[in-house]
Amino acid sequence: MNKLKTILVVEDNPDDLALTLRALKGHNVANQIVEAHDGVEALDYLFGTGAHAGRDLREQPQLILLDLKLPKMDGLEVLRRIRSDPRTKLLSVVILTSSDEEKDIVNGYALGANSFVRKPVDFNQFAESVRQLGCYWLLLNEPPPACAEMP
Amino acid sequence: MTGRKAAEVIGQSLDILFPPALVDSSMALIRKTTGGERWKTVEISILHRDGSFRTVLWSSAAVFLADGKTPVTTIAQGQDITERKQAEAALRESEKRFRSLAVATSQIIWYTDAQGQVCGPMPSFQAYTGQSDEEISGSGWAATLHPDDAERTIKVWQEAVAAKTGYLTEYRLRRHDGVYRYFTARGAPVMTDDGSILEWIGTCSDITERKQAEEMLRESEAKFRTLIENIPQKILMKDRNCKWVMISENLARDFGFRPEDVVGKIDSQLFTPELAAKYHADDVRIMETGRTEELEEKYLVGGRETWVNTIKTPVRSESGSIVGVLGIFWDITERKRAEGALRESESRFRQLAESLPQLVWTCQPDGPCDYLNRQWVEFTGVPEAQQHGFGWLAQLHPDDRAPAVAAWEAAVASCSDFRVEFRIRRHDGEYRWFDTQAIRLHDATGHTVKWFGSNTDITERKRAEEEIRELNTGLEQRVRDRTTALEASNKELEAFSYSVSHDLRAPLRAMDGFSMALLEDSAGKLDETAQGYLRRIRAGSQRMAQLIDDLLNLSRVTRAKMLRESVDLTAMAEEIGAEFQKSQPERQVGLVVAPDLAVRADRPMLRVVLNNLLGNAWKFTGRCAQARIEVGAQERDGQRIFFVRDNGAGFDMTYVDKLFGAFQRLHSTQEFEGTGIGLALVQRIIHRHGGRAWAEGTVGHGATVYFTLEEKGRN
Repeated sequence: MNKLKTILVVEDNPDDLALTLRALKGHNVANQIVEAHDGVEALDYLFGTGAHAGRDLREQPQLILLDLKLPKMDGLEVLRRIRSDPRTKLLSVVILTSSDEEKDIVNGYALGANSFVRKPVDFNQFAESVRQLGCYWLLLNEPPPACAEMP
Repeated sequence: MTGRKAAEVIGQSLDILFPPALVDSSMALIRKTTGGERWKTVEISILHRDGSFRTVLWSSAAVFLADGKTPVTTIAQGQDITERKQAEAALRESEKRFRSLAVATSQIIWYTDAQGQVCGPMPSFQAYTGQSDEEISGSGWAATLHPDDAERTIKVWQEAVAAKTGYLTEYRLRRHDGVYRYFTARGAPVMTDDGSILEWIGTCSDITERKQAEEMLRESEAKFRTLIENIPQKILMKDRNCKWVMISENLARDFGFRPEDVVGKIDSQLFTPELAAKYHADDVRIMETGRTEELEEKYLVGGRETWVNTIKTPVRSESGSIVGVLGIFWDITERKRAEGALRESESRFRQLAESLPQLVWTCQPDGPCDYLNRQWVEFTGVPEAQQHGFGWLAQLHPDDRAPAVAAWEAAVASCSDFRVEFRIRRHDGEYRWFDTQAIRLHDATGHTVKWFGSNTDITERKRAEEEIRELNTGLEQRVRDRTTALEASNKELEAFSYSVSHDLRAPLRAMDGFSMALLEDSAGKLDETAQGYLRRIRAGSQRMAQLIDDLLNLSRVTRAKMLRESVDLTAMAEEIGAEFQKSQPERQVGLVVAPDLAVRADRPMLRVVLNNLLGNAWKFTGRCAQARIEVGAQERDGQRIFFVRDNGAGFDMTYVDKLFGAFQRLHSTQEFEGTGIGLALVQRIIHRHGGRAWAEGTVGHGATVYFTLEEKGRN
């Protein structure tokens, strides 16, 4: 089991990002948090392209917290790319977004999201949600073996 | 005897008395008589002085002397028996002739004794009957009489015998082969001079053929009679001279005569001079031309006008010559009356047809037009006769002719009613639309008798229809445009909602989140007031988030697809009530839900409705000691009205109009929680169901919200 537990947070809103990081750090669930501020940046990290060229792709995040409304490439498209690439298709992706539009929920699950969580406005609730997510996906959930993801 | 005087004879030899050829034989005969003294008689012929012979019975005897041996003289006497001899000869001849006749004729000759008993053979009778001499003797012959004739015949015979008169009768006699044949029997007594009966003689003539002919004639006559008296037709026959030969009873009855009064008469004896002259002229013409004529005549029967159809035909003899005229009549009064009625009904129809505003026409069963009313003629300006048959087609719009003809022919062929629309050219050249209909008049057997048609001017209607069609087309286009616009605006609204749900909440989250961070991280640096402000910022942002969620809900209710299904409203209300109870277990609320409230509604939407109404009731009874919430339904004007009633805070009816407006509140947030979106949401959903929502309330005495789920009039 990989000792380094990485969470990839894909979030364009710096406020939300700051609050998410605060919630995550506050509960000490992650060893490493990688931020991506739009969809393209997220994919660059995952596939070792762009700013992340040459990154060791054996190190993949244990959890991706994915916002939907993103500049350049929206969250659903990011999810589609993750699921259609053998290197990333088994990664745990939790959609964490402001919206609770039924359309988004259905599309998210259809594209293979592992979970859909709405960001509550009340920070206490928000922090609690993030904590629970971290606990579950990083500690309780048994991820698929890393080698199985590689072709 | 000799015609001679005595002087002439005395002294003469006897020779002169005899015919010269017979002198010797006569003298020899005489000499035989003179030989003795006894009278001897011979029959000899004596020659009369006039040269004729007479038969004389000659008797002579010799007169002898006393010795008896010596003749003295001879005495002779003669008796003229010529007459007797002639009579005897005549009798003999007659009898011979009679016998020959009896043999020669086919008739049976019979004879009996004076008492009517057969006492000798009767060859011709026996030849017929085959009886023996013994069998016919006495009354044995009568055994061959037909049993039906025997008694009568014997009676006639006995009466004749008793009365000694001749008789004539008919009877059947059995032939030797068992066949009975008819005979006419005549019998007459043969009388002696003294008036007594010598014998009976008679004949039997075979009349079987005549009888059969008569019988056949009678039968034929009877058949003929039966025929003419039983056929409904009336029959007469006149001879070459126009004299009535025969008239059937029914015809005679019509005339008021008895048939026997008519036969033998001529027309002038029976009818008025005019009628007689007419009949006579007809008869004579028919006999002269030899042609059969058929004519319709009218005559009076018992004062009643009667129409007859007459066939008069010449009667020809076997040789082909015209011997009379035969008339056959039958009563056609009813037919004439029906024809009259038909003419009258037709005239009435025409009157009606001429008075209608429509163009009216009739056609023959097979299609050609035979009548067009005045309106048609005036409309087209073309004479009626010119449009008969299929001439009317020329007045139709060229584009309509082929379809009209096709439809008409189809109707005629299938005997179905005809309905079609076409344009007819008016006299001024304008084509106008007509709704054309025809119905079929048929007889009892279903055969078409006539077609009745009418054309109604529908030009104005057509024009209106065209306008409506154009309007509709325009309307459809407008609806399409509107729909497109609506869809676009819906899309925009959707995009807006999406954006709201994402973007409007994020800043709130930041406000709340960072306020919280501040409170957590810098609590020591902030006094109580500052911390209170931060808490207010958080509360405000959370309330704003709630408002946004409610707004989104409202917009979703407007856009969401609605699906009606059967919903158990009772169960749903109880379930929601239970949820509230669970969230606030400490409250004592008496929830009464009427049983079996089954509705057809969109289930999620109805849940929103009940959730809000029960939520309000729950909320506004929060300060009641004896909270009571009632869910039920009532029937009014055939419509089911549901209600949720509580005994809570109630409201002032002055503001009832504001109750269902979005974000309208009648209570402060401090008093009761809420964003004011609940009833707006309820109303939106109820409207989408085609229903209505309204409320009643009194401050401090609770409120009732009513709603229906169907359009009024629908159920």
